[in-house]
Amino acid sequence: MNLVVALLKEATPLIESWGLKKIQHTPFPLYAANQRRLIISGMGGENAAKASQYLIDHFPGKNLAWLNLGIAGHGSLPRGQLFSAGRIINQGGPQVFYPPKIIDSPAPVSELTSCLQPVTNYLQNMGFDMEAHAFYRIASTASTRELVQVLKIVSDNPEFPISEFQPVMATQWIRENLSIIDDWVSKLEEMALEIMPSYEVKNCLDRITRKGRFSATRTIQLSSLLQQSIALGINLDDVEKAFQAAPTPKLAIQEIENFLYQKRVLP
Amino acid sequence: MIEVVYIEDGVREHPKTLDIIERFPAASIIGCGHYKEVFNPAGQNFRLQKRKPALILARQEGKLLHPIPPTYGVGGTRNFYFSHLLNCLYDCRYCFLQGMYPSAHFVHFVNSEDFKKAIEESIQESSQPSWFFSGYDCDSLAMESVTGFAQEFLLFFKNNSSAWLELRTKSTNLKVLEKFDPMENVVVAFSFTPDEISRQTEWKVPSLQARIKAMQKTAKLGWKVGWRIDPVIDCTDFEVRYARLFDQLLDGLSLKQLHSVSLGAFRMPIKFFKKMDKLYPNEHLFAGKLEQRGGMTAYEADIEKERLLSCERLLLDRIPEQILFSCKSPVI
Repeated sequence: MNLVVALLKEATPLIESWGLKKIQHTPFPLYAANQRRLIISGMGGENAAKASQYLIDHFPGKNLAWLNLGIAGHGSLPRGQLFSAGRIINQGGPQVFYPPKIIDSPAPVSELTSCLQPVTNYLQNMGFDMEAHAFYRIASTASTRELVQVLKIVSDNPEFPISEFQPVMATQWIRENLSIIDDWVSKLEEMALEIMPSYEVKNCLDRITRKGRFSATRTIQLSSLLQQSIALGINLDDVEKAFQAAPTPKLAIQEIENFLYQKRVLP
Repeated sequence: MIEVVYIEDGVREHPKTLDIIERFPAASIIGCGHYKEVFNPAGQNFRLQKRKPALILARQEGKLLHPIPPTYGVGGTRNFYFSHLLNCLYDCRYCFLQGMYPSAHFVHFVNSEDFKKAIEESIQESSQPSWFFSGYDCDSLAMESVTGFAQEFLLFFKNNSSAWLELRTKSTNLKVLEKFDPMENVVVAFSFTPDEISRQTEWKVPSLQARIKAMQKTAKLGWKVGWRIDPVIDCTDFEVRYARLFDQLLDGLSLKQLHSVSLGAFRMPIKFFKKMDKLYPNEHLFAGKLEQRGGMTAYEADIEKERLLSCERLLLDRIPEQILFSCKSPVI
């Protein structure tokens, strides 16, 4: 799980609650523990994009869960209200994102416009932040869109304009919403696991291909057969045994195909 | 059930839009320029979205009626399908929708007036009776409480009795049919697989027993019913299971009410199949005795032939030949 947060004041409750340790200071402060990484991007779209790209470059992994958390102004929701972004507009740009909301949550879904400056002209049913669009543009290149989400807490609205906001309030509001945020993070991690390729297949493939001379084509064939073995409910140890007797990769693949064939009927 | 509703800017004030959003007051409403902005982007995962699809309300533009493949009819010569809805409430592992669409969101086209106009024009083009199939890209009845589709189109076909409508469904909620007198030009077609297969592949679908009961009740109300044995799935004890299914379907059903039975093997455009297999790599069905031929992924030719012949034989022991139709895969 990669979290991109603009300010330390917003991140503090998460760092404390999850026991994250600071593992670097520059170019972006980075906290991590138990497969969760939290990067402090600094304010604005450019920083959010750079911090997201930094995580992609230094911690590569396809379809990891990503979350941008922070504060936002809003035209209708009350201060302290957590919401998820269902449409992310870039002020002055045509590209729009629609993060699919697939998590059961009490947090409402709202539209969100990412701007260059804090907004004082509020619109009904619209949130305003500075990072979400840039974050989404970068993170969605590394992960399926369902796993890239944006959660914001309303810091200002027509009743309480941005001039009345103090950063310490962000810490307090995020702390108050921690259980909902925790739930989002856990569910995103669970979904990322659901679609992650099988380690069992990868490990078995590594063991087998290490022993013989496998061309790229035969490695793909073998990987597919191992995956199908799991689908057919066959223990990969049994497949590996069938393999060991064969003198060449070609014959070994043939051997596995024969072994699987009779099991290919739906029970 | 529906938590997020995306609404195309162009249909915000459409009466059907207003009616639907009034019925989901707790849903979050999100605007969009065109439904494809939400539905079409690359980098979406159908499997994850299926957990909680959103509803998109949109206008269908361009061609609204499409010819069905030549062998997919059930007696008519002019056959069209139309889609008031993309995607399905259910989650059948064999369904081509998961291979065809990038998104699992439901897209409901609210401009039913345009569909009706297109159907009327098509009817007038020929003196031959035309058939209109509504359940190709969705289940015709499963989302009736959201779309009100059948309520509206049954009324329409009541006034256009020279044309035929097929409602294809796995739903057991058929209250809308009780509101109308049975119509001679409407077939309520139910899709079935044997219970053992249904339990392994038809997720979120009412049980086979419940669907058989619904089919029989529909027939007792006086509606013509159809059986859609499609896809036929290769499985252990194939003949025993399909024979039992056909017996269960016939039990208590008057043959007079059975309009048609269609039969089709499991087949899928190769591209769709590859996507489905990637989405569900642990799916037993996709590791079956399949091969690629004619642009499709299908059972090995001899297995497909044998299974279809078995079903045909089992059916012809029970129903008249003239109501049995075979759907053959179009070669791509």
